[in-house]
Amino acid sequence: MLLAAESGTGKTSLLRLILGFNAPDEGRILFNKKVITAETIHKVRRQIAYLSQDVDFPNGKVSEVFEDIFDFEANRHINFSEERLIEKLDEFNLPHEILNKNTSIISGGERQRLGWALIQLLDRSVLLLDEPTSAMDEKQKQRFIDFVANTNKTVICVSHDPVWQIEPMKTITSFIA
Amino acid sequence: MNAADISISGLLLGLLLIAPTLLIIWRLKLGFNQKLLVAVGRMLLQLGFVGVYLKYIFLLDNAFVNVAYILLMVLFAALSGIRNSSLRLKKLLFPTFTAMLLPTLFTIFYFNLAIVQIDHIFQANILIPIAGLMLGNTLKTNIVALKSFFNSAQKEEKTYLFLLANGATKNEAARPFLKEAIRTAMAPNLASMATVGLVSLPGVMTGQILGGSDPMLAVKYQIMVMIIIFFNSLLSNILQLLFAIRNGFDNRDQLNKELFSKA
Repeated sequence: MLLAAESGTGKTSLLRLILGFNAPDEGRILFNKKVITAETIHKVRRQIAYLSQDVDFPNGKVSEVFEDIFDFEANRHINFSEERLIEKLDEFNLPHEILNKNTSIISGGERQRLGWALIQLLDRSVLLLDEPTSAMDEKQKQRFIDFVANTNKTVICVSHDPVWQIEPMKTITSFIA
Repeated sequence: MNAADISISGLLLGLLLIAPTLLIIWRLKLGFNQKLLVAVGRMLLQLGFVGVYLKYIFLLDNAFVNVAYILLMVLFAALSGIRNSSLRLKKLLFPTFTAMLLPTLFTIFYFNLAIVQIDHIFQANILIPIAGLMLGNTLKTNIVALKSFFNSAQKEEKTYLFLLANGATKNEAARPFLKEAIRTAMAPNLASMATVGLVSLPGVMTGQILGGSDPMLAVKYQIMVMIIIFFNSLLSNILQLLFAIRNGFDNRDQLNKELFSKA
């Protein structure tokens, strides 16, 4: 699903609702046929991987940030290793030295690709993506668009970029109030 | 050997030094004469009371009274800690109290039993001043830690949410803030331990030397005191922040903004 409605219409808010950061004022949201509530939200979040607009990695060395994330109780079952991360770096044309850099000094484009490395390694069934290719050139974008086109995961992507309007994405260009 | 007494005339002559102080402040238009007078007045009143009731508490030396006194000290420390971090009192008073009390009780009894090895572990003239030393320091570090924690939790909320959305529990997502808060809060303790004795003699030592103790004994006390202060502050800090995480977020793990509106 692609959300391409105008700015300020609530695309990011919708992602926040699904993640349970906010409660809906009215109505309810179902996730796998279960209502999202304060009680169920932790289970829901465990099935989601999320890329925020600025890919808000915590401050620290890239390799350590990744280690910390895969050390979360919910992620410990995932087979993660530095080798697997390096494979992703190679795949996305990121230099190996980036592992030793601090997340605060890497460029926006590199952050986004690192974010993609993260969500691909997390391998969740639902991906929430907020402008996930905004800092990339066309060639780089295409790789991730192809990934989404060929995945059987549920993907909700916020993007104004027309290149995302592909099969099998359902494009929503306006929310009816 | 005892410290040389200060006579009434000596005290008055000491207080006389406040006069030129006021004059200088007035001449330079520094504008805190009134504050200084209030501060001096409070000091005289508070310490005067402390002197009187400590005298009786030491004379009485009753275990229950001594422990009750410590509980009161912890309560005042907790109250002033929350007020100084500009956080709402109600939700954090009990956790702060607990976070200060538990480590302090443990450390003080360890100090009395294992380090000084006195028979009467509730002995007032050790229990109260040492607990006071620890609490004073713990109070400072906890204020810094709380401020730093909620500051980064507000400033770096996006990072927190990013981690939450990728599998973290609130404890895991808040860990970067927790680490940062502990580092910031403990830094002065670390620095003062590393430079102790180079510039000035620390308080405990000074007091003991003035009181007529052998400098080596004073040094032994000082070293032990610095170690228990560090240990106690670190422990209390961690507890305080864990409680803050528990109370500072709602059931959807969102930062509880109510905490910041001043009470």
